[in-house]
This record gives sequence, C-alpha cells and structure tokens, in this order.
Amino acid sequence: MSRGRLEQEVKRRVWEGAISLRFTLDPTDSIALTSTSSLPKPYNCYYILAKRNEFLPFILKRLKEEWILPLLCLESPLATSRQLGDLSGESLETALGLVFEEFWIEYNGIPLKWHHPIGLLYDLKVLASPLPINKNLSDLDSQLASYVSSSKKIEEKTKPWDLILHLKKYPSDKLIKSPSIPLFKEMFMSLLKETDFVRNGSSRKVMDLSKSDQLSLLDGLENSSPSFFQNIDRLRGITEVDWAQNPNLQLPIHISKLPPNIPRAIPIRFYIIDASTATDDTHSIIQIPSSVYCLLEDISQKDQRISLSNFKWITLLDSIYSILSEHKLILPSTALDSDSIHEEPPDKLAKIQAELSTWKCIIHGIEPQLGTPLLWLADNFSYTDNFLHIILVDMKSFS
Amino acid sequence: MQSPNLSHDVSDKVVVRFRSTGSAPILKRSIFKISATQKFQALIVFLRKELGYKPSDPLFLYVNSSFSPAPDELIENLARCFCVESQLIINYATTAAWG
Repeated sequence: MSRGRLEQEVKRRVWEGAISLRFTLDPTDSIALTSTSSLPKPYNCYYILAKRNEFLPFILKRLKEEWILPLLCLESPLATSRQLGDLSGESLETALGLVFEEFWIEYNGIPLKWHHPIGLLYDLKVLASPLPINKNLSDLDSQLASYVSSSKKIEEKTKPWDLILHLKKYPSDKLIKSPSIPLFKEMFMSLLKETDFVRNGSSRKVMDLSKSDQLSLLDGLENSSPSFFQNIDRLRGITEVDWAQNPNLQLPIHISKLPPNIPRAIPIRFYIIDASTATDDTHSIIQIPSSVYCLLEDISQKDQRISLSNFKWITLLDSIYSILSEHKLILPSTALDSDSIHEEPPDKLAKIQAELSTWKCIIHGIEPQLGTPLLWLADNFSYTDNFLHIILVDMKSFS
Repeated sequence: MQSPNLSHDVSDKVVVRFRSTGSAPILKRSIFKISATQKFQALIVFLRKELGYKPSDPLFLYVNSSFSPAPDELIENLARCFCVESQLIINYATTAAWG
C-alpha cells in the first residue's frame, strides 16, 4: 500500500468502528412508568449501533427520544389521564415524570462513566476482563475449560453489548453529575483544550477557533459526521513522517531528519487493570505527557565528548515499559538497570519484551504491535478528545 | 535511553496556587497543599468553602488559564501533566473565562 493509503484505511476503520448495544429498561423504573416489570413488545428492548468514538449523553438522548418518550405516550397511565398531545420537549418530559439528568446506564451492576468514549468503556468492561480459569482442574479439564471460556469470550465479543437504562436513582456516589447536552459539549471543548495544552504548550489552537467553527465541530460531535473527524484531525495536526523509510525503529536517525511539526508531547491516559484493581472491577488511571522521540547520547571515539546528534522514535513498548516501571507495576530486572551503553540494544529489547509478556495492551478494541511508533499511534489511534487511551491488563492477576 | 515520560515529579501532597480572574474575590491565602490522590472535585469544594460561596453561586475553575478538568480527574494526574514550577495553578472566575 502506498504512503498515506494505509493511514487513511486505518483512520476510516477507527472512525467507523462501532459497537451494537442492546438496552433494556431497569425493572423498577419500568414498574414505576408502566406498572409492568418488563416493557410491552416491541418496546421491551432497544438496539443502537454506536460509534466507538461516541459518548453516552448522545446515546441517552436518542434512547429518550426514540424509545422512552414514544413508549410512554402510548403506555403510561398518565397518558390516558392527561392530554399529552399538545405538549412537547421538556414540558412533555416533566408531565411524564422524566428528568434527563437522572438517566444513567448500567453494565453488570456497574454504572458506566458518561465522559469516557463508548469504545473505551467496552474495551475496559468487556475486552479487558478475562474470564477466570479454575486452577484446580486436571490438565484435560483445564484445557476443556479454557476452550469453553475462549469460545464464550468470542461469543461475548460478537453479540450485542447488553446494557440497562435507568431513569431514576442516579448513583451520585459513583458517577459525576450527568450533564445536559450543551454542558457536555462545553466539557468536550475543555478536553480538547487540555490535549492541545499538552501537545503545544497552550490551548491557542482550540481557543482561536471561530464561533462558527466551534459550533460546526460540536454539531459533528453529536452526529459523528465524517467532517467532524477531519476537523479533529486538522485541529490536532498531522505529522508528515514517512514510516516506510524507517523500517527498523531501533536504529539511530540523524537529528536533521526530525520533521518540523512534532508535538512537544502527546497526551496519554493509561487505564491499568492489575491485582489491586481486578477484584472490584475497576482500574487506575495514569495520565502523562509523553515525548515521541528521544535524543541518543553519542560518545565520540576521539575526544570522549558527548554529543546529541541522533534520535530514535519512541515505540509503544518504550512507553508502556517506562510507565509500568516508573510506577513500580513491574520490577525491572537488574540487567536493565545498567546503562544501555554496555549492552547491545537487541538483547535489551528481548529482556523488556519478556518483562511485558504478561501484560495485554488494548487500544480501540485491538492489541496493537508493541513496536508501533507512539507518534503514529497518536496520529491514527487517538480518540476524538485527542487523547491516546491505552488499556493495560496484567494477565497474571487473573490466573 | 532517557524515559519518554515527560511528567513532573509528584509527591504525596501537591502545592496548589489559586489565582482570581475578573471580578472574583482574592483569597487571603492563595497557596495550599492537597493530597495527590484527591479528585479535582475536592478542590472545587474547598475553594467554594474558602470563598464562602453557596452551591448555587457561579464559580469556574481552570488549570493554567486554559481548561476546566472533569471533577473526577485525579490531582496527581493534573500535577504530573500541568505543574508550573512545582505548583498546580488554578484560576477561578465568577463568569466563564477562556471559553
């Protein structure tokens, strides 16, 4: 594939990536609204194909407008006692006893955070949580069990994601207050400013958007239109690096080859699932600014002077290894502590790979190759808030 | 190879400096320490208390005159990414600024 074509195809898939959601209404809410614990057909469940990059407030809005309101207009006991036909918008909702800001979504007993993109929520809750394997089984049994669990896993991945819509009893202790749609749009702009600040040292790019550019960006956010993704891409800025020219990322490159528009850092959020978080089905979040290249020290043979005339692209492997070792989530072997000058890089690389072998890394629903340059990932695998959201699962904690 | 991670060092306590913007009242004391494991929400609640503001009074908080973090963002993550000379600078205003 020619230069740029691969990136275009990857981008298209990231933008169009979608997850099918199947909603049912919480039985208590259903009784309160319609006096039955499950809704009458055809309203008993509602399907939505959601983009991975979409956010829950827009899904909640669709659920309200396309599912709950039409249902209530037909089925609510209120509908017969009052004249609802003349009402619309908020007055209709109030008449039916609905408060949009109290809507929330549950998966397996856990309230879903509305400020994470849906793809990230799905990866955290479904892809990253391995089914436990019983260790006391005999070999044959355990093989069988692992076969069954892996096929269950595949089934899990292909069927719609079963979620429960709640209309009442907002879990304020677990979720931050649910926003109205305009408030959510403001929060999204703030996320863009935050990532702009990390990349460029100020939020100027986002602040300098004209009012009409801002409005069209936010309309696009609601509709997940193709132009929205292009606008986000333009805002982030794309670096012109011909990766095909550098097949071996471990080799030093002369500093003169460094492209001019490299971001000073890229914003990454790591979601870490390990023994300390696995038991209560949560994760810890570590946010960092990461550089995408590093300068290499050269010691001149002649006069022993140190110069910094070469650089190396940072890979996903480098980034994961540094975050896990700096936060003491892996214990680096002593061999890695010694300076790399005394050791051939390929050896070191193999050791790091061994250290990370029990960790699983997920971005946008896939496990990317760890040798991928971080800058390539930032350009192509960022979510629309321009964060690179990376999930790291310590598989040891589940065995 | 040096670490690609450009984070600022974060200790157990983060130094926060509040700066008023526009017509927001100035605090008598503007520098405080907060536990790194707290969420941004705790800073919002703390500042409201210091200013004697009711929950209904409008108050907007920004990091580095730039953006408003979500209330559940961790102070340590904000400090790691946005500290200036080892301080987390929080600008506050009674009307939306930098919007």
